[in-house]
Amino acid sequence: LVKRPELQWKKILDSIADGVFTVDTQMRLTSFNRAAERITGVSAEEAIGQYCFEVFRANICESNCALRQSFETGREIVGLRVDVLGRDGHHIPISVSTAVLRDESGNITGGVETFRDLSTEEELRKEIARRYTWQDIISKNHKMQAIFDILPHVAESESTVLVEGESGTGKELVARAIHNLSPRSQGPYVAVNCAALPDTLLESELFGYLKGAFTDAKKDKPGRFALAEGGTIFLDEVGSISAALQVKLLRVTQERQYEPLGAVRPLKADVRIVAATNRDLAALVEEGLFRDDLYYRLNVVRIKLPPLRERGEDVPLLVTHFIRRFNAKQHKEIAGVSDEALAMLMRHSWPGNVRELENAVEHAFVMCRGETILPEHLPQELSAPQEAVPRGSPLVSAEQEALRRVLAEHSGNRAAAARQLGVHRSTLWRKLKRHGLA
Amino acid sequence: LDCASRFLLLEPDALDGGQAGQGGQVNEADLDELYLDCRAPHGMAEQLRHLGVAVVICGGVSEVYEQRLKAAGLDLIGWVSGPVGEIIKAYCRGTLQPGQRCPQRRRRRGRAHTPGGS
Repeated sequence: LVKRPELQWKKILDSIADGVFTVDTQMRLTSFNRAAERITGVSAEEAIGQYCFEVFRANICESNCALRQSFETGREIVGLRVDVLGRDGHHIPISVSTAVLRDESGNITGGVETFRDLSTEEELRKEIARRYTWQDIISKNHKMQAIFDILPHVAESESTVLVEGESGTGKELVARAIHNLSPRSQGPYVAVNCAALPDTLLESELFGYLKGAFTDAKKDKPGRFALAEGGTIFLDEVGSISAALQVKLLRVTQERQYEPLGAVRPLKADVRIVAATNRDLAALVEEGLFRDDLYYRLNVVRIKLPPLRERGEDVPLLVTHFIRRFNAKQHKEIAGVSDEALAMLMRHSWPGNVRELENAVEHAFVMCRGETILPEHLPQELSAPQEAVPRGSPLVSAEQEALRRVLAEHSGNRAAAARQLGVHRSTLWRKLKRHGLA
Repeated sequence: LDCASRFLLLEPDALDGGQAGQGGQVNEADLDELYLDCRAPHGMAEQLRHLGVAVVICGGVSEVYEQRLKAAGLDLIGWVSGPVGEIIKAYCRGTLQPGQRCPQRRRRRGRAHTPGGS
């Protein structure tokens, strides 16, 4: 072995779990260890002597070769995340590090690249994403996870449910999940937006009418309650219905009976009611705009969905989800968002919540011609300075904004954010909790 | 192919009666270059088809690109490596196969070799 040091080096390189190859200054492979053979599916015998880009086939080979950068700058590159193409045509995620090799005089004689197969880590990442996905609702936020925990029990019961949350927080997804998990899942699911119709129309839409009930009522028309018989009716924006209609809805919730327009006898309603509102119903009751008896009837089980600005940790998850969905829908191959674009998305306060985020990603899909969504592909309002959401005193708002910004800069890493803010992690945690950002 | 930004166009004239068809040397510099607007699989396949491309010769190609090109009616000879001139020669001879390595022939004057999916 002493006489053949190259054999010793080969043994050492072959014993390493990471792929290692070396090139000369012409980028021709001069060595290729066993792990490199395993990861790329190319034997050392086949690889040595070929150009590295003809063997390695990474997405950086043509435009952004890490080894070439090392040759030009003399610097090492560590842990660059790239994809290589396996012999079976599948992408293999790897982490690449490069360095130059020099002779005794300091002249560059070649380069060395080590790479680690990240397939297992990627699988784990996907598994985690699956864990944070529940009935089409995606979140790792602790408040949402608590909702995920109780929803199956809520669904099993026959109780009326009131879902509260700002516009775009996913109230209908929750309603649909309750229906899907309930014993009524084989029955119909009927959604009605109570704010979308004028009161008179809404009444006939909900309860239906009989022939002759009014001019032009030439035949019977079943209402949404009749269509939802045996299933679930979702009453969205229930806070916007008139006082008169509130009385009729109260009767359905109390007695499970309703009268279509023009009917002389009430009809039975075997329907589970899930209502939703983006307004504070309790406040409307206090103002006398919503009947308290109906409020208590609807508010048997209350689910309050947090706005997206309070679940910033979900933004990257949701972005990945929407990218996957739009890729499938629009036949595109966008791999992800750049760090700058993600930081921009994390900084935004999302008054339109998840729906606004979805629209922002869709906008980026229209603008993006490459593989990565960059800041310039995002809607302009995201790059405009954000006005802090007025909450309490200016000092409180400023602190909240600072916390959000620093967290976004560190992609939600609390330890790094605490370091930058010069506070202990537990102090940061307390502050985040106080501002509803934890 | 998935990351290729530059394509080299070999026109039918060059194949039939031209230099390539008569076994002469074809250099990269003699070929027209093409840069596509869209590099996503579907868009790439459609643009190439629209331009009248019949055959795509490339290096590594992922399953999704391969399927898209084939679905667009294009012939694909993938996983080929070596200097462009040698690859074209092999293609004109009708001997170019998927996965073929076309080694550099020794010549008096060297030729440039560029990476990529051209």
